Amino acid sequence: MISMKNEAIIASWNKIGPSALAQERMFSAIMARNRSLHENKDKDRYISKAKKALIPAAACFALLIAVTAILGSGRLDLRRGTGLRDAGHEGDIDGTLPGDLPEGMDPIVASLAVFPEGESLADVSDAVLIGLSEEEAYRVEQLGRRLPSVIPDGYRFRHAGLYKTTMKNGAVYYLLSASYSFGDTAFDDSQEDVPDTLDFSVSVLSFKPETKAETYSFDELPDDLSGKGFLYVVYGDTYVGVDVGDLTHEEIMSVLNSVN
Amino acid sequence: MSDSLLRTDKEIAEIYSRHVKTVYRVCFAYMKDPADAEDAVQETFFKLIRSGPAFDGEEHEKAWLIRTASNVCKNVLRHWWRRRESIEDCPTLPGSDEPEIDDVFQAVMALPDKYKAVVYLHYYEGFSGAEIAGILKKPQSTIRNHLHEARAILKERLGDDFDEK
Repeated sequence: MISMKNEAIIASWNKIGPSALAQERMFSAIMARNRSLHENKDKDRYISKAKKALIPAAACFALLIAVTAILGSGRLDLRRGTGLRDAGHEGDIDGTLPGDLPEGMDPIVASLAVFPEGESLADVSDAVLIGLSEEEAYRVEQLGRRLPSVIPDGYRFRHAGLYKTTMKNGAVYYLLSASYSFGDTAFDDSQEDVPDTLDFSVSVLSFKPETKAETYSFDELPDDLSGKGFLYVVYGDTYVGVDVGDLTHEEIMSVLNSVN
Repeated sequence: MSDSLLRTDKEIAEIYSRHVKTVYRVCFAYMKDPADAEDAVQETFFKLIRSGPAFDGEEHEKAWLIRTASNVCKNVLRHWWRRRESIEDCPTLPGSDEPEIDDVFQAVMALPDKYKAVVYLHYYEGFSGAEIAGILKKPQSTIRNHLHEARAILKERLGDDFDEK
């Protein structure tokens, strides 16, 4: 094939470009990210040294937690659901909306809204989703520390989002969601083929959701969670929703055990 | 975190300076508005920072950025939660002057997403089909087909404005 430029295309595309202010804004964000990565690298090195000393104690603690969970649990039938729908979310995960919306309600706002049990979609003023990197997700105030620190072998972070809903009375609710995929190509966006299916996801809420999904305290988990779809585990006043996907029970427990 | 190349601020600034316009142009063709293009540019450079690939030279660096920008945009567009659907719905960021979009660029933006990076690389950068196949990591036959189909669409929409010289 002959290499061939096109003058019309070149002239046309040359008119497209970021303004000086936009360039400055992007540059600042990019440099901030680079500096942040350098700082985290330093922190990681420090933590790695500390972790080596704590491995034996951590292993004993994890074993204790696992035994407690298994002994204190009973087998329960879980219903499949989605984190968003079960967090007071009227829309389905694919954006379709059941039934009629409240008058004047933007369907997109409705599809993104998350709110506690007892609140109503009609009282939602606005809802947005903010895309987050892995570093940003784990740093979200109050919620980020509840994301799992252990991911099963072969799985990698894929993407995360912070759902922010503002009610008409001024109350604001957040849901942090992170998804993880199996294999490298699933999360490496520099590759062409990114599968549409997610392998498992974790949602963190600081409020009690209106939900049909089964909800457990950490000490009362069933003895087999594999294939159970979506469930909530309560850690103090935080609800952690897990769509377990294809994870085995042991993998699910490793994820749940690593939630702070 | 894998052992990747951690670049200094100076190195990142140099790469940014060399390629920001190219990356922005590619992103704009996909995203169709300044605010989303800006987000996609940032995400592309964030990926560069995070994954820290080593490059053989500036052309390799540019090729990696174009491929990554293209994938970043396609992934964003694939997400069901994408809120803004048209340029009219976009919040105006300071300094985000609306670019001058002529008929030719309108036609490029209207192409199916899978053709946009190929069109940019061939008609703007002047890469051959084989080179584009290497950059985008796709078979040459696929690139040939994409170029053939994109060319047919552009010729139909633009007529004489799309004379290949």
